[in-house]
Amino acid sequence: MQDNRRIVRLTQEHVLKPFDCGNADLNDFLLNDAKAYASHLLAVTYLLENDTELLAFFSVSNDRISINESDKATWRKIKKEFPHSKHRSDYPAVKIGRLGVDAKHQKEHLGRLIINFVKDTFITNNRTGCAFVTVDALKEAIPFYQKNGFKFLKPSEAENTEKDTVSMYYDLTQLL
Amino acid sequence: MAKPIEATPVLEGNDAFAFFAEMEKKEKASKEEKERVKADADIIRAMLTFAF
Repeated sequence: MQDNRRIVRLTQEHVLKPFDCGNADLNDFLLNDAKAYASHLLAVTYLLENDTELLAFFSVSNDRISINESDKATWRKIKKEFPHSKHRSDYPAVKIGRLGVDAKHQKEHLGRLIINFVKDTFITNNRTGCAFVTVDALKEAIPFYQKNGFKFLKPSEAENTEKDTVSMYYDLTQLL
Repeated sequence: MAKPIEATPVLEGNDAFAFFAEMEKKEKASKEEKERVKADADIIRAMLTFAF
């Protein structure tokens, strides 16, 4: 294994090695919030580290993509346009809430490796049904997620200057 | 405190229709892309210190 790299689960006792991905909010999340998310069972954070460095982290949680059931006009339109398909009002998903790579390692495609690990994990011997990967993507990371096959859930979010993040999704069935 | 992880929005209107329209395309990843996903995942899997 390259320089003893390993993935460990962040625990309350874990002492974080120095980390700077170049984004203050992502650094802040890892340093100050990730353990609280874990203790409240909201998200689990995994760390990619070696003996001296923290190279990357990602936080995942259960999620779903839901369609408003009371939006009758849209449902009529969907059923008229796609009459031969079954339509659900929600689909199970796994959410990558946060993903950061240390600035010194951002040319090593670690983000892509992690994204593809999540994709592959949920189509291979998966323990629960999961049809999509969702992300709460920082706007500066949109090109990265698009390059990795993610699409906007609500395209208008990308134009909303009051929001720092945008919801994107990846349809796992394309890998089957 | 960092910005909270935003909840995934509930879709309605044109966003909901566009979501289904994308699914209806039934796009498939290329053989090369599937192989790359698997290869990348195996690199990370080899680093796991626990059963994921």
